[in-house]
Amino acid sequence: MDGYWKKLLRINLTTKTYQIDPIDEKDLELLLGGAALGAKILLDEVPPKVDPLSPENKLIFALGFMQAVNFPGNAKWSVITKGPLTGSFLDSAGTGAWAPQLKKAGYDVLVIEGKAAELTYLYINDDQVEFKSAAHLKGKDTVETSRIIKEELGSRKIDALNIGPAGEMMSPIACITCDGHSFAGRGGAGAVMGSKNLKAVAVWGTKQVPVYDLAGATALAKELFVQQHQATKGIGGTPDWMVHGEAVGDVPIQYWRGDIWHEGAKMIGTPRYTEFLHVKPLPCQNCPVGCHRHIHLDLPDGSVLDGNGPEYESLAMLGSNLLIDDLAAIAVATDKANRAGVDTISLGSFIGFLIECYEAGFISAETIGMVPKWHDPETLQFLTDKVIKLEGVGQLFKKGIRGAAKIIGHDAASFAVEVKNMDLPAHDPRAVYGLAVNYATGPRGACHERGDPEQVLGGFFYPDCGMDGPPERFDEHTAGYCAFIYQNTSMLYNNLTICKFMVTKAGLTITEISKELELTTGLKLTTMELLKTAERGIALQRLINVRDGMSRKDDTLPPKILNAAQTGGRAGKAPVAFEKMLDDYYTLRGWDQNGIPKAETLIALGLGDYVSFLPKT
Amino acid sequence: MIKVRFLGPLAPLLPERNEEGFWVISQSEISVKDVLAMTAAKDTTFIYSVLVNNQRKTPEYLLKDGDIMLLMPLMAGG
Repeated sequence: MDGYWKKLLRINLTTKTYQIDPIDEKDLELLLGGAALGAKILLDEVPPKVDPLSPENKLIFALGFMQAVNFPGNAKWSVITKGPLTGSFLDSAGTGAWAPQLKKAGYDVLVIEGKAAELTYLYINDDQVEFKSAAHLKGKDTVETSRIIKEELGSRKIDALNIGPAGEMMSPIACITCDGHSFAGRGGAGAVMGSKNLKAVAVWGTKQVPVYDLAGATALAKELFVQQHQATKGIGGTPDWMVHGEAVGDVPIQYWRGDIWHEGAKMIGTPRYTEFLHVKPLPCQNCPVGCHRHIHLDLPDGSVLDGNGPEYESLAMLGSNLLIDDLAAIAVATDKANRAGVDTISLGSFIGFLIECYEAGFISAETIGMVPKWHDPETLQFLTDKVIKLEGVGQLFKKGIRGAAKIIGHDAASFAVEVKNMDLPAHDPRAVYGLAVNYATGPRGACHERGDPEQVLGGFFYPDCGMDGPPERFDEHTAGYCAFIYQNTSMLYNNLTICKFMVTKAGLTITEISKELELTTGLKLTTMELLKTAERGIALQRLINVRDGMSRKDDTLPPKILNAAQTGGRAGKAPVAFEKMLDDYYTLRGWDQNGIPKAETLIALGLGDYVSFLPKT
Repeated sequence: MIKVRFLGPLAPLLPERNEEGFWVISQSEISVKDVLAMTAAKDTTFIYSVLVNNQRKTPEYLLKDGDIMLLMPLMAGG
């Protein structure tokens, strides 16, 4: 099978050694790469209940076939590990030219083991791996680190995945960053990197992996690029969703207790966002969409904010979630988080949670260091500084929001809006019941990227995957199916390692993905067979969580999510029949009613080798 | 006969809809672009893709009798 080197680069930081291992072609045919292949390696190589921040944990960076050719949206990589927030499976993905470079260097997968004695960065240059001191990078932010490494290695084209100060101090919400504007943001993969004393991984490659029909694949890539660029001309990036999302009840408002925020949404969403922040598109390599936003803003103190602007998620979690309609304040807080290398979703969640705990009398202003308020940019800046540095009240969050709730006591745990200790992202599951099931069953906790039923709100569905329309958003009978199908498609993108916006924003179809696969690898799969590869990945991820003791008891919703709105786009609606929806979902997955994959399911998926991993009954 | 369906927030942009949500055009041999010109889609700021019989098509594509054309909004947040 072409399109893959079938090679895994294994680097041991403890011994400062590296080797190249073969990847079984059968595994690539079954899983296609990326997050699914990474899950298999994690399951095979990392024992259950390993401390995510110990040297026994591994960091796995995995690609699919998309990087073999310049397909639009292929500047994407997956990182797979045990994550500090949930204590179990984590995969996260970022963009940037790093992914095509790793492929050009001759590898499909990079596995990093052990722990360096001192802060280190790696330079992978085709067949060579250098272990370089990162002492001079200690405490440097993500943008500065990227810049310095490019200078040292002599090329602006060399991308280095890196962590900021938050990763170095092992914040559970630390990101891995690429090229200053893309983040493997959720779940704390940056903390795992920090625990290994690994500041950055730079890569440069010069090889072309064999491709089944290089001319055909290249022609298709060009054709798709033109089509997708035409289709997305004039978009305002992810902030486009703010006003539409608020209208349908999808946007988090006042830490999930508000119903509407019409005027606020207009203040921070497009088109005002575009005008106020002087936006230019900031495309990744090979991207016809350019969803990232480059902003330029002169601040009142005379400083200039020039760089990566807030995505929709940051805009919502640091804006509507806190009732802040001051775009400059949101942009400043986002910039601080980006530079420190912190997930802005969890950051916004922590701040909203603290304000609620203060209002309830669970925590004092003295402990917080100020009187925290909604609508208040000062609260946003103060608490952002505390959380990203894990200092003062920020120390409460060293183990995530559950850890903070435990320390605060009282009834704080019931305020926390999380699943498996992962804070909910900025799409309200009361607006789409399928999203409630998706969040509850998410392998890394509540996530809108490992299943995106929120697409239903825009009317998006997959006509070439057996669907005749988007599921009705408030239908409890199809909610399980809704989570199932949108999880499968999301998983597919993370296995192929392609940006999902090629599909959901630029109109790439699963049929076209099938064509990309065939021309690159020679492997001919129908759309449904492609989704089957995704199902395998989800089963493997679930097995990791199950092996760590998770089951139905962990597939829950935060109490707030069962409260219906009084007004707005989801008035009177809440997923109160959640347990029934969960039953339906388990049935579709072939899991038992405790959420454990059945032996016959694993066998039918071609994963019979893993039956022995199931708990003994 | 060609059946046309606009999804999600695009649905109101059709001139009329039957119970299944389709606008039925009796003529055939008409381009996607010409169909769009007969609807309010020409004025929308929404980004969308055009699918004919579940395959993505360009505005120049010539629709045939029996074709089903879908307008899919591409708009969710990230």
